[in-house]
Amino acid sequence: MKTMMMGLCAVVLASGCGGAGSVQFTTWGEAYIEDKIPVDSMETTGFVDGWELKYARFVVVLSEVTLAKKTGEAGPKQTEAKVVDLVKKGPTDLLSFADVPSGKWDLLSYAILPATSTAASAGAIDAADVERMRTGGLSMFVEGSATKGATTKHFAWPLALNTEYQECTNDDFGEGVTVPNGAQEVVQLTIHGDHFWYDDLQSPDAKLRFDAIASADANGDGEVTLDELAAVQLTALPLGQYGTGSAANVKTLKDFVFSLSRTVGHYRGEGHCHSHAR
Amino acid sequence: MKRVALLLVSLSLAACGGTAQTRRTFPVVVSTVPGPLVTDSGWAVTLSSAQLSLASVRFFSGEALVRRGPLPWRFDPLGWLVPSAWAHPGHYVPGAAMGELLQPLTVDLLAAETPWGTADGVTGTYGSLQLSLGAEGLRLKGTATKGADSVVFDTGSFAPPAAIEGVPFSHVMDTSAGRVRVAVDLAAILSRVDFALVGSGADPLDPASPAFNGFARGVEDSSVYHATWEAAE
Amino acid sequence: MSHPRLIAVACALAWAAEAYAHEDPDEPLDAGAAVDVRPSPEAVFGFDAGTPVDAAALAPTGPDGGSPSLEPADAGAPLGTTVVRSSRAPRSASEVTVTQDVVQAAPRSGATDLLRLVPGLVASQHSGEGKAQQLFLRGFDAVHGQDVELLVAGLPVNEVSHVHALGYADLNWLIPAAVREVRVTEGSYRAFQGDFAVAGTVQYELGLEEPGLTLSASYGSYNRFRLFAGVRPTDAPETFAAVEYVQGDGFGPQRAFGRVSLLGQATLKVGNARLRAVVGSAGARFDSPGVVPQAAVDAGAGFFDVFGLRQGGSTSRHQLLLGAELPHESGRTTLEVCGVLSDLLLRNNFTGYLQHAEGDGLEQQQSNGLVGARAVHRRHFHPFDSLVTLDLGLGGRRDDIHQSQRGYREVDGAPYRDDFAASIVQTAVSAWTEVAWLPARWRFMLGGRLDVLHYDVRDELAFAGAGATRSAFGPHWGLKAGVERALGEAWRLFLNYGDGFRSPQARSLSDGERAPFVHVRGAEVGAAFTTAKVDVRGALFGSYVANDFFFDHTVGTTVYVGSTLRGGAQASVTARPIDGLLLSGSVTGATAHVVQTDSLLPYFAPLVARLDASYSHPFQAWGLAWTPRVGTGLTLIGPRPLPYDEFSRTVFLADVRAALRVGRVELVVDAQNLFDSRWRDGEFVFPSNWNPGAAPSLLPARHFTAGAPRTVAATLEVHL
Repeated sequence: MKTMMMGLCAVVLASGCGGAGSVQFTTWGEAYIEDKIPVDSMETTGFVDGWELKYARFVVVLSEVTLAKKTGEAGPKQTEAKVVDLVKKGPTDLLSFADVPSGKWDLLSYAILPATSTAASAGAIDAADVERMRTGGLSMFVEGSATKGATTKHFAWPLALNTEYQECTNDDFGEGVTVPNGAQEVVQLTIHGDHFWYDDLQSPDAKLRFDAIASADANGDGEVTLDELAAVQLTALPLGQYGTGSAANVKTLKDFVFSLSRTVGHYRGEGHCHSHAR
Repeated sequence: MKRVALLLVSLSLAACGGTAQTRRTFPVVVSTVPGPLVTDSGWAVTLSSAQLSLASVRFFSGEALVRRGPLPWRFDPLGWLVPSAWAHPGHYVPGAAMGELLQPLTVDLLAAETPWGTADGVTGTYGSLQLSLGAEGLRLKGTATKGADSVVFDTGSFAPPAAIEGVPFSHVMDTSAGRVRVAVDLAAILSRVDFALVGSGADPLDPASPAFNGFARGVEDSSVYHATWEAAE
Repeated sequence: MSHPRLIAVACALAWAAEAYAHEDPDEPLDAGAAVDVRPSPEAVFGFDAGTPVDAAALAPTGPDGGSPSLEPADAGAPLGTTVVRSSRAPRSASEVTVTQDVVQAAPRSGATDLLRLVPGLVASQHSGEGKAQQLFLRGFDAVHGQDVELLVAGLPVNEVSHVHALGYADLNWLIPAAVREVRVTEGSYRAFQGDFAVAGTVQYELGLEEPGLTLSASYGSYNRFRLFAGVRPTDAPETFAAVEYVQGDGFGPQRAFGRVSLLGQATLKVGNARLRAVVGSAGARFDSPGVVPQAAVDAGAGFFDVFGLRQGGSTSRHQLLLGAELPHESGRTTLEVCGVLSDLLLRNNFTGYLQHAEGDGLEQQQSNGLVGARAVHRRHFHPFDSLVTLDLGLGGRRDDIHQSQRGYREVDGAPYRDDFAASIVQTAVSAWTEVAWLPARWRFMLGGRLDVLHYDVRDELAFAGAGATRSAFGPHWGLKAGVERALGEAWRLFLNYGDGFRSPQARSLSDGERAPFVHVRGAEVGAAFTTAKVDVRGALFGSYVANDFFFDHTVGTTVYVGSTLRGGAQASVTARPIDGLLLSGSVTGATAHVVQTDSLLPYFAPLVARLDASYSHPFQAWGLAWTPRVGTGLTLIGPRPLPYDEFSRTVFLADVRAALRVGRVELVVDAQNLFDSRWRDGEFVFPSNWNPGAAPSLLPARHFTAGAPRTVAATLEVHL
């Protein structure tokens, strides 16, 4: 466990002479996206059914980073979407808000949404990947391969879901962000790449599995497509796995993976946001 | 002195303005969504019995994490298939408790509608409700037909291990007369059931079978319950 | 309305009123609070070199313009027959001084009774006889002190960044018999008023009534036992030492308590300087029965039943103040340093099993080491044959706080959950000034205040125990202004404006919860009529908070409500129409609204009335001095708005005292809640669940804490 120490964060308390600062937003996929998701072990949480997965691409379109206060005061809002490949070593700089009145901005939100033609790149992403997102109107593109023994399955999934992550908070850093006076705060929008592989939509004890995904390769060509996932009814899967709880209208493995894709957005590490489908 | 008293009385009465919310009660009725019962796998179902055991319903301010139907300015061709979104497994945020009805009820879903009782609540913005089924849960009996095949089935009682959360109910509750209708979509509950996969049997339905798996998932699915406010005429 | 316009309106009103007032235009403004005294303003402020020190006793010297008298009130006064009730000059209609005879008129068994002396203040003791009271004043729900600044002999009582509630002010260590006077400054119109003085400031000054040795023992209902010993070695009432020990079973289950308190103060003249020292040590332990759900009572539970085991707590407080008052040619300077060590351990469970299967009990702990210093410089000038006074105050305070909160199991009290632990160093430095110009019968005051706060917070549990540090820093500016017009000898008109504030909760800054400065703008217009026998005051007040929030500390939720508006009216009378008869009463009406929704804020007190009366008639018989005395204290609290459009019940309490002193021995019989009314001390609305395993109701419901039934106590007092 890393030992972390918060830097001194000088805050001018509201009294009419607040000052301003800046906020630098970054994004990071952590080791699960940059490196791999291993087999589950005592040291590391991983796939309990023996798979190891490595991403080749994990492209997301991040936009609408917004600061606001619960009092109703509106702050800056990102207008230009940024396309970033989290497989590239990060954290990756996304955008910066300058001249933000210092103090507590307790409402922070952002979105992972379909790219338009004006979406810009961030970090070391291949131009072709950016173009794919723009022309396809995609919000996410995940590509990789999972290996178990001698078996390897490849996947490359385009997603066009629009998800807003609201009221982001972190138990250690707090709600939103505190903008210092005359200084800069750095805020990380953390993307958890393991969320695609949970075996339950509601249980906090969800495990990482890939067996059902692998078995969805109906034609055995080593490529698991979204159409193949859509052909797998969750009712055909082993009992006790891929529980959906109260989740609405999730019937196929594709529905399930799409549901999970709306949970990848996090905040400053293990912090969370309320995600809303749009 | 009289004027002073009047001033003081008026100041006291100035406190009679009311705090922001007020208590109220409203009736709750249970019914079903009309329409043919046809599963996704093509089985047409005729029910002979549909018994639902309810324990409680609670209303919350928090929105369900799904908006029914795409927003007109942002059509998401795939999004409507996956209306629910959880920030993290198990992370539904109900918000403030707005109302509740805590009396058990067993409903014959084949009846027109059944009054459940009178819920206690407060005025304000409602966003969702949570439904808890009783120990007997839902039990359906009937016949499923597909082509020349016919299956007589009894699902047996199934009660989800947890309450059904996040059923959308968007309503700004004031003191006007009305009631809440909770309508159960039996077609949606049975949609996942393939009566060709009943395992060791359909009457009673094999709990290890994919058919029962589909039934159970249907009972838990929050989208099969439709809550609406019906204003009194 | 802008500030200059306010002052112009005030002048116009005063000029208009003057047309109807009988006055001697040559009579200078009486800037003193003394009645029947006609000193020149210079004499009042001690600036007249020809006036002996006795008159300087009338000079306001403390942080509020008042000070413990150097001499007995009417001893050696060169100004004729003088009955000086107070050495403090009120600067607003709601700046009142409650003298010791009023304090002693009715039974005062503890802090709650002492707080009820403040006009319009409702004090609720909802968690046992050791926890700070919940206070309501002028439309504010001050929770445990966040909107009422409390001081005892210059020692601060409010605790900053307290684990239980902001501005936590525990007054239970204050010995009622040692309270010499209570100086109330309602509103926030004076520059000396600091943090938490949103609804007002209450200062308790210490002293014993009689010289010599006083010993007393009391015994009363529910095994309440009290021992008191006090010594006043000189004629100066403010030099004394006293100790009080109280214990009792409480009026119902799980209400037992015990406390001991030592207080002492000494004043010493060294040349022209006056030295002062205050010392105190106290400890208390108390049980608390919790909060009763009304639904449980409706279902058959007892009114005084217990909900939640092992609730209660313990406190300790040790304090020292050293001060020096240095007169000089054109005024005086007061220097003070103080230190307070306080500890609190508190266990509460208001919601049962609502949030946690193990129980919602919270164990909170706070240790605070406070050091502070204050300097007040006062001087006068005479430009153009008029008097200008300048008050300058400087202060600093450091609080070293260690606090924690954890959850405990209802079944056995074992802790099972750590919520937070924090170390905080909070530093506050303040500077304030008041400049007053006194032309003829006017007094124009303009003042300002700057408070700068600094926080160092270490959240011990953050980052999996590695700890997180955060610091914050910032100023608050406040404007004060006032206009005073004397009409004749007895009448005064006042118009006041002031900015008050409340500091943020340091822990909230560290864990991300928003808790900014709360800035309050207040104004008041009033009048006072003061003669030798009667003091009548009336005021209309209002206040505005731009970004207000409502904190329900029973469940720990904060609701931001936006801007709020409060207002009301207050009238108070203190009369001594004939020898031996004392009447002191007040009526306060208030309202508090959320501007955006035009709805009432919950919990404030719209109507509060209080009457203290006593009569004594000493006579001589059989060679002994006999002094029979009767007194009463009546309290009326009107229905208070609660959430969800409900109202609390009206409360009427009658306390009576009968005493007979023969020579050196006195017997006192006190009865509190004489009519044994079944009343609810605190009423709340929140959800709770005391039935684990059952499907609980999550809707907010009515809860209350039971008020004390009739209690009777007899006291035997010996004066040596």
